[in-house]
Amino acid sequence: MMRGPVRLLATLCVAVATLAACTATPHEAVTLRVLASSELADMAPLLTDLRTETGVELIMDFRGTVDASNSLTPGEYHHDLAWLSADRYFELKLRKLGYTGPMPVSTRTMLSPVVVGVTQSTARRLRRDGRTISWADLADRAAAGELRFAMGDPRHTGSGLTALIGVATAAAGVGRALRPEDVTCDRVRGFRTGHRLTADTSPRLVDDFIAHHGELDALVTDESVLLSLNDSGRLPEPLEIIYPTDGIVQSDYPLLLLDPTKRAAYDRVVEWLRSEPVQQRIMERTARRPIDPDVPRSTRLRMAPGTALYFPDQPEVIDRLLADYDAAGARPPGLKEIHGCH
Amino acid sequence: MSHKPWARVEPAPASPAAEDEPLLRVRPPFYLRRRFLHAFAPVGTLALVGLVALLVSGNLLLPFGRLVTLEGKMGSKADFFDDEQVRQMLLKQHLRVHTTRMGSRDAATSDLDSTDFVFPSGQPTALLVAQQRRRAGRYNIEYRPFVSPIVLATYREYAETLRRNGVATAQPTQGVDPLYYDLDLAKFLDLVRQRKTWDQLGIRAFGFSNGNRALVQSPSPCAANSGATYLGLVAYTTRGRVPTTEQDAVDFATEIKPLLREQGLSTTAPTELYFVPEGRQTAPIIVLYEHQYLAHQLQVAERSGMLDHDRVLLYPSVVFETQPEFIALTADGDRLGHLLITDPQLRRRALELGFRVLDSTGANSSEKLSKFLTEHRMPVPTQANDTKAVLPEAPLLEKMISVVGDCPVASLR
Repeated sequence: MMRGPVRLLATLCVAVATLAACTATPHEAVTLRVLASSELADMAPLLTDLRTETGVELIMDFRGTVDASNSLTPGEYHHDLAWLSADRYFELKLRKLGYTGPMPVSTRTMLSPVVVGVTQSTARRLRRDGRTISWADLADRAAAGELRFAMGDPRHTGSGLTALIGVATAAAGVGRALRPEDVTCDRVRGFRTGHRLTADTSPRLVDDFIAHHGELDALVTDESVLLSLNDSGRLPEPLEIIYPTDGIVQSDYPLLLLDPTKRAAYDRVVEWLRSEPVQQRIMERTARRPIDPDVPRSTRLRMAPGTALYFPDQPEVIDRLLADYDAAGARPPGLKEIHGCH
Repeated sequence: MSHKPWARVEPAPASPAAEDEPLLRVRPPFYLRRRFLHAFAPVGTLALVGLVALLVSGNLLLPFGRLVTLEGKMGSKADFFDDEQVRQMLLKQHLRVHTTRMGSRDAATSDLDSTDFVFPSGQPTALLVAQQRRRAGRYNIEYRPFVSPIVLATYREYAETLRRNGVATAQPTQGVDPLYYDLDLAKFLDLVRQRKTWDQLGIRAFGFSNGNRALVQSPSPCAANSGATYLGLVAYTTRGRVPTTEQDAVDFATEIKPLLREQGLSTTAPTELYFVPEGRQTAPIIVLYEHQYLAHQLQVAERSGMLDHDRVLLYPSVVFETQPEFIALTADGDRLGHLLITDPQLRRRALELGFRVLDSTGANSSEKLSKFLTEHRMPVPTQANDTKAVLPEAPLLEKMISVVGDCPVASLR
């Protein structure tokens, strides 16, 4: 029917249309299994968006960060990705194993420091002297019986171990990364006196803290967890967040690619998570700080955290800190007196 | 009567009502005829949508050439290939680069079988790749498109504290809020050896405290070229020469190890943590390449019309010019490498991203960067009377890295 030039033009048009369709990236549906830090449970609504917008579904297997890191062994991974609050413990574990092979591809996704949420009356008491508050001050108050707090079990959770390292570093007062010889039992004993409630995962810690909040003065965990708890209205009055002046450790939530054959889907997830609108959404929904420097922090996230500590690079330091913790004896999670080392 | 040359002119059919005068009726051109429009509209619309999609995605020219995706492994030089404008320029050449970011040295010692190119940030790391490829008789072509010196990035309070301690001086002609300081590296390392904390050096004068010892956070020398280069700078500054024997190298390394390891676990890619608003607390003084800082300032200036006066650079008095080497491992990689040194647009963009672009003879043409910064109303850093550091011979440097970083000697991995 169509005459020569018409047919030619139509054919060209079809060709252009087809090529355009071919160069567009189709979002094929992919499911990835992710070993994740337990506090990332709050990412659930965003993961729904991720699935809608990129076709990638993340099946999250939640554990405390220390537990998760301990279950990661090169060559024997059981997940496609790992999404940890930090990969420092994983790195130290590999160091301990003497592993020097290739590390998984890793990309930071967001930030949040480990800090201390205290009740209003505790905040007034702590600030009595009008001074800034350091981890060492908190340890002293705990030793004096003036600070009873909830904190994740440092043998299982990243926030618990991080806080313990913060206190031990501040107490040692050496201004460099801790070495095994800096870890002495007395130095953290005082702090531990105040540790009245523990749990193996972040959500469990929060639930238990709410159940026992009347008997406690503080909750040691990620800034994001504290801000979200305050937003939830599950406490009679919001906790005031104290940023210790020293010894801060910032979680940077790296996403690790454990199975290199899943690289394309990994790239889609990383690109999505780090895009400006999603960074904004992360900040609004989970109170974490964007890794994107160009996303302006909301008012409550403009507070500067204290100075970060130099994180120990010798696995023996962690072993020693945890051995001291263990010395207090086996304790089921829940409210109880935790004794110092003997 | 005029008509378009391709409109058919047909005699009108004879009609009884027709006047005697002969009539010529012009049929409308084919693209306005109903039958054509019916047939063409759906296809045409589809094409239009496709064309728009191609334009929007910047892939307009793609249908007319084979799009090649290149796999590249590198450290901070991924900043270049991940730049949106560079991506567009390469797409026009039918090239797409998929980057894997890792420490340059990690990249150099990784499995390179399905990699088209590596782009180590400096020569010692490039040498690792070149030696291995040559030994194995594999494809290996090197290009050197630009250089960028290793510097220290910090915040103004820290630079001013160092200035008050006689360790740093502001570079001249920059006004009240200098962006660039010269750092006497030998004096700074003395402070590190004396185990001075920032509080002891007087950081409290600026309204906050920091009980950490004054030292530089650098990535692991085993993993990153910047870590290895900083190690080289510290070693050269400490002894004023390079080691000559393996035992000498071990002694050097053992002596400087505390200066580099008291920071504890080294941070991978500290630059990212330095540039976020929390950087003053978490990464107050780090090792980076000059281009990373200049790119940040140029971006801030473009967005806000102002400069970032909180973040400043310290130029160590002992310099070592770090020259990234693009190493093509395949023919496609070679095509990209050739473009990097010849394509005027890519070279211009490299300048805009803060690199000191090399001229066609391979000579450093820092004047171009100076001119470019001046045009963008940015102060120009100076490097005067500097001691040129020399890195030890490759095997000795590798030995030192292994001692300081507690990792196996790289070439044996």
